[in-house]
Amino acid sequence: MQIKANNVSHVYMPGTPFEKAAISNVNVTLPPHTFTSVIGRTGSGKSTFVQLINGLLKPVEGSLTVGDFTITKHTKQRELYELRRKAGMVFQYPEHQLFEETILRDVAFGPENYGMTAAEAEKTAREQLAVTGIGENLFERSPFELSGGQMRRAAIAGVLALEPQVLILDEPTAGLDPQGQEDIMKMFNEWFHSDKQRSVILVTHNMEDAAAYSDQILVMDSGRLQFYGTPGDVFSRQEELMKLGLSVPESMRFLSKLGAKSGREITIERFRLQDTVNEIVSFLGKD
Amino acid sequence: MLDNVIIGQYIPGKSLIHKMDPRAKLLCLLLFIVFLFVSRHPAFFILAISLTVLTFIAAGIPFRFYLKGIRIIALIISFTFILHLFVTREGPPLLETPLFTIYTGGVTEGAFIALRLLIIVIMASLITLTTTPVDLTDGLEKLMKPFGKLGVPTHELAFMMAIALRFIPTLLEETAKIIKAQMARGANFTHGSLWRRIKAFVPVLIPLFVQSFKRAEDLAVAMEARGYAGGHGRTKFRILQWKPIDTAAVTLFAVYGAFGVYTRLFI
Repeated sequence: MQIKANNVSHVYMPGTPFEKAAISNVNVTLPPHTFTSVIGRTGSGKSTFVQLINGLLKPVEGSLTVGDFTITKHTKQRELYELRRKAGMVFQYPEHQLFEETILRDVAFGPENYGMTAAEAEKTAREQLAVTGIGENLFERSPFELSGGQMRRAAIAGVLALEPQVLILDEPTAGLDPQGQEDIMKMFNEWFHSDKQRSVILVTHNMEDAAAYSDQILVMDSGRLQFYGTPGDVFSRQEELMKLGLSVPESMRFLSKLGAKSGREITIERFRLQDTVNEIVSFLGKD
Repeated sequence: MLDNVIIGQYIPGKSLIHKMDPRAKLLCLLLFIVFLFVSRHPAFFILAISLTVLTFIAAGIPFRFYLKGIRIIALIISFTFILHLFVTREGPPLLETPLFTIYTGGVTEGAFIALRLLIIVIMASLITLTTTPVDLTDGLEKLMKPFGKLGVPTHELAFMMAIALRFIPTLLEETAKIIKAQMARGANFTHGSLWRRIKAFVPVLIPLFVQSFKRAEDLAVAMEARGYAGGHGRTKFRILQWKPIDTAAVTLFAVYGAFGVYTRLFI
């Protein structure tokens, strides 16, 4: 699905002393089947922006088109309800939304809400739990008995069970150990690549993740979209990023220093470990 | 949808009411509520309403903001009024239908109760709106001190209240977040029968409880880690200061109380 933001603005608690502009005049197009990352410091409006995409918030000004849906401030909740199935949302610390007696039933909650029969919903739940790597022996356990990482996976399965076409991830790896972070990101990447209809929007503070998986990166600051482009484009503007309180991936910093110290031409837009290694090997080979 | 709850919120400001000593504010509120139930004389009610309006203006809270926040409470007050309309059977009948009869006593009684509730709510919320939770607890603790000699755990009580107040906004935020997360999974809070809508809140309440227990534990650990061991021997960083304006305010409310007693006894 193509996602298009048309001069979108959002304000929290309008008409109160706590009024706060969260998003101002955002214009951007996300083509179908793209992996998009949104980066920016805390409070830059990333989370607000992605919540607008699946209709949890409505724009105060402007409009958004998500596939066949158009969202303006006049859009009815009933329409948004349908949109939320197409655009699944994994919140920060999604394990906080677990509530059912068993994991299986918790994952089946979403599909049942959207009119699947209990049997169908259970089938979907089993499939998605398998995708997220939860073993069958845990299906009948209470979600509150699981470890933190397992709870996170079960909660993610609960969103995947809606079979969305767009998956919105709001810092999905926060609070996990490094291995857990990598596993979960790989899982999302596989989910994305296994179907040409699927898109991912990732909100993250992790520049490595943004660089390694994205087709496109949006940089936000103070509720405005500052600039966007491919990881190569975005991370080549190192100075601007620093001003916004952001950084570039470790591999880029290493390669650019290597280039500067040795005084030789070197490609620094290498974001995956293997590509970085290859670059260094070829650098050494020139000696 | 939870943006409009103003109970327990504090709005920073520099108004006269903001600057008052919390003890004075609490005393005034106490006087106001107690004596409101003493008299039913119209002149006294006019005085009570004027005091409310005066306090409200002095507090400088934006009216529109307040109006939004009081909506839910207005619903409860209207309900009380309607209940009185049908239940109280005093005075001459006003309206007779085959199903029910409304008496004039019901109308006046209902109006009295509704009016009292309304101004009490306005006054009470003005205190939390203009006083930081820390000040409020300090004030309460000081006021309750005499009861400490009788074995009442005043510090603990005040502290519990402070924590409760402190966490109202946090809980609301958390609730809003969980509601969003469940809405993203197709939960529907706005459609269907009343029973369905009530049931729809189960997926919100359970995570909310789980989180609250966890948070309570974390808070207890964090407090102990910083050496908290109850109120005994605990000193205060901020000392409350009683100013002339506080004396003036308490006097004003005492006069109001005296007037209430006067109208009750002599008019």
